Amino acid sequence: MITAELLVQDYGPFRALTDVSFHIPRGQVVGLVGPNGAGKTTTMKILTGYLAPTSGKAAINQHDVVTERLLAQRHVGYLPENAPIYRDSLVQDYLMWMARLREIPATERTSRLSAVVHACGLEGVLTKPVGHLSKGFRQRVGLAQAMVHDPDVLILDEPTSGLDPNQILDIREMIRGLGRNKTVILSTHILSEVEATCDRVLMVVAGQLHVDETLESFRRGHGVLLRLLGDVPDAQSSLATMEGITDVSCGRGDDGNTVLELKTDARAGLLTTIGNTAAQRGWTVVELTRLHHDLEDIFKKLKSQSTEVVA
Amino acid sequence: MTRALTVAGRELRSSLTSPLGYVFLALFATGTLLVFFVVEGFFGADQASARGLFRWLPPLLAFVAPALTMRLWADERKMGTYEILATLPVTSWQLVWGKFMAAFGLLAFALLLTIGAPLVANAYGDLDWGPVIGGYLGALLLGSAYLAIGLVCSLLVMEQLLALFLGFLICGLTLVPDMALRAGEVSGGLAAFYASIGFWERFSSIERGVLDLRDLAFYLSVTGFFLYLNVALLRWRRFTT
Repeated sequence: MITAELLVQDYGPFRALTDVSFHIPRGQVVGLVGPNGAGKTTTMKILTGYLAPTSGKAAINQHDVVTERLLAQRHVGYLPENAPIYRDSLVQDYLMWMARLREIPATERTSRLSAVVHACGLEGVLTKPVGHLSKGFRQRVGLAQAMVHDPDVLILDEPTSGLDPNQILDIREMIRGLGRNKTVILSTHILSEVEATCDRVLMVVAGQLHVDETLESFRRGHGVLLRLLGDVPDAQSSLATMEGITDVSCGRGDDGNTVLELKTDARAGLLTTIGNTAAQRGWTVVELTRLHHDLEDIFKKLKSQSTEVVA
Repeated sequence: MTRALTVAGRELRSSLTSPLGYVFLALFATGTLLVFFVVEGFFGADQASARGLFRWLPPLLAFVAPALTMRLWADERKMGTYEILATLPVTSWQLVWGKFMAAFGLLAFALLLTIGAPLVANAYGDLDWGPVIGGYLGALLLGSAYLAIGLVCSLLVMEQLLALFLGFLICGLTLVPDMALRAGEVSGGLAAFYASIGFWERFSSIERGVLDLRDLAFYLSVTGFFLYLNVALLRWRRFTT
């Protein structure tokens, strides 16, 4: 459905994207997250055919976004950041204009328009100029124009930025509804948004793709916490040699117990293996659990890393 | 073509709701009629002719054309609306052609506002309409060239006022060789060269009622060249920005 292969984008001497690759199948809602200026918007601009990448390829439904731009763009609806829409246009005129440019046959325009007007809750503002609308309604008009031609792919740049909590819930609900039969990529720097709407996370930091995982595995993380009763001096060395464990750090808790943080790979059944090992060695397990990492934490960690690189 | 017309339609509607558009149209019509009746002294002359109307049309068009085009690209980029426009399945030619047609429609309307001059002339005596129609045709072609130049200016900057001044500057430059000729400051080969590139000198035969295909072709090729430059710039933007 959407493929990106080794995308590189230079703005003058500045490299905004470095070798970004991903493949998104139909019907997935993907959250593109990262700090501001990480390359989220640049990635979206390439996928929508607005910008030709310096190198690499991107395609929508097998249509290359550069060499077959018009074909690729037919399948995409795009909501740019801040929903830039002609302020002097009436909502209904604007949507009708988009329907024409989106090559919807004259006989179907009215029905398509009423469908998106209904989906986005725009019935009450049809005869108002866009410039008079609140931010929330402007965002909805932006969504309506992106959906007017019923595209397979929706690309939404910060769809909830600047909205109040109620409007955010509305938009999220709409996006979840869209995800049932469309492929959606949305960018955000609010991580709770991803947890609320997405199936998959792509995290871009300083122009590089750092994370590409399903939301589930992303949240589960690959860390394990093991707490053993009392002082167990040989725990660290014997766990470190176990298959599937990549790193062990060991410390002592305030209560005198041994606290081990294990970095593991993603293999299944690892917790059971660790538990069995502990039993065989006669350790008393106080706690054995997966470390659920919080998106916010990773985000902060990556952010501080990237600022170190810049500094 | 339908796509371009759709683009043009929105621009026209938008122009007619903006007060600035009316100001420039009114300034153009007033200026043209003032020149005709006062500067060229229509009422003092003995003959019913509309030549005075066309004599000063080149600088007047150089003034109004950039005003009609200044907003067309600059505002799209400033407001960010270009981002949606550029991601529609529409070719760069369709976009440019749509913008140009919108401006051309306004220009035709502006010229229509000056029709009072030949009408008055006709009331005073039997007016030969042939040269008048030729003059208007020439004005549309010269105006097109200026609109195409103005569109490029609007594409180069993000502030419409800047686009306006840039447009004045470049359109004004096209009249400099003619002014040098009129001042009698050049002669010989240079004069011939100036006459071939000046926009105004070509218009003087049109003003006399002589429609020379070479003159029309000249304005048409200038228009074509600058419209092509528009398209090339739009394409180039996709690859740089």
